[in-house]
Amino acid sequence: MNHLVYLIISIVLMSSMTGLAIKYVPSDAYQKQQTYQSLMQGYGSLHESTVRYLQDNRDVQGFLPYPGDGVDIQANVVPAYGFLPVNVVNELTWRVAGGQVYGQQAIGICAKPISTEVSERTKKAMELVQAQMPQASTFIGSDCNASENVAGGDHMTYWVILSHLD
Amino acid sequence: MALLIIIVAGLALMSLTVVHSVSSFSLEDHEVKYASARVDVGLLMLEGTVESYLRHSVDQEGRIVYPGDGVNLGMDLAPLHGYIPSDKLYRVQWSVRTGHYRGMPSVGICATPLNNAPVTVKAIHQVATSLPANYVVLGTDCFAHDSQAGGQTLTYWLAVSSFDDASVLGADVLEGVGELSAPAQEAQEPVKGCNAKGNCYGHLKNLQNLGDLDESEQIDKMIGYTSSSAKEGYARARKQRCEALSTDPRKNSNWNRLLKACIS
Repeated sequence: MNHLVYLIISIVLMSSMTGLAIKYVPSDAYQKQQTYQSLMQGYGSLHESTVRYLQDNRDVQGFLPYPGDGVDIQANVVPAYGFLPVNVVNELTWRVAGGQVYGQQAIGICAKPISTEVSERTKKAMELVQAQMPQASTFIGSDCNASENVAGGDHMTYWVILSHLD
Repeated sequence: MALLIIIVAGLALMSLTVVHSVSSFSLEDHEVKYASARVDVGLLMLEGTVESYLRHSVDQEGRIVYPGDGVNLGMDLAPLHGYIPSDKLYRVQWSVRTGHYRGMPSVGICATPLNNAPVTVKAIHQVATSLPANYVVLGTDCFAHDSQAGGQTLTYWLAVSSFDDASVLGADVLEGVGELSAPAQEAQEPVKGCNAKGNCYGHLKNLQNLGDLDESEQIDKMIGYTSSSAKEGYARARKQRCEALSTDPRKNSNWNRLLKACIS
């Protein structure tokens, strides 16, 4: 009889533990999710600002402005066409600059490290973001405006190709 | 006695489970919902890319040049006119090919669930119900013409004629340029905004006819046609397109969807 009581008590304990555990998220996963969301929101917002800037600055013939390879246009885009997104979990900041990808003129929206060290968690979140982005639109390299992936890279660039807006 | 305790404990556990499941939702439902949103976005993205591709593939009259049946457009679309949506997240493989559908030259956008993952299959079925029924085929293969029972591969057919700017967008632009175009006919030099084949955007191509006007007049005309900020030009073009679409007798097909897209 005692054994039965112990058994039932242990089952109840176990199930209540499980019930509790279901309501909690591992903190590492939670932080990765935060980083992921922050990156996605930042890209969404800067993409829109960049497109607004480009559309609004067509020349008289209707051609989009290309700033030149590597020319930083952040000051033109923010705050005039949108605000600069917050830094991503104090590890990444943003850069918007002209560059070429696939031989096409484009604007690279880059999330780059504030300091030299970027946590593995943030790198994992970058990969998660990259998997969601359109194919071959986003690269994680060792510098901004990368056009291919580099193992262990911590600079992520999404390319707004000018011809997409024509 | 022991049996009674077991029964009571069993009943209590069961009722707890029932109560718990009533206030929860299944993870799979959640995933299907999320996946179908992604599939829908992917389709919209490709629709826009196909539109851009077709609108750049025009002859001198501004009519879309249909490349023929069975042409895989993947390489023509990306990266020049847009991107191909991700295939990693929800295991959907995308492909785009031309073909006649219901007797009309069309472009088919196909979404294939990789490994027939149940979540992806459900998501694809869900998206299919939200698309214009006559233009969606759930078959066993890409670019099928008829739906089949248990079909898991979605093909969304876009009729090329629905993007024909010469009949939809170009009308008033062409009319406006008509009187000016005569003296400029000889000017056949390649123009910025046109590709090597001489294919250009309808409204950009019209601008080349303005070449012989003096500069200030030229700018006035351009502003008139494309508006000083091209954003407005696009908004105007879209509005025209919407108007043309809303009065088109072929509505209730994918026109409804295009209409929805151009209103937003």
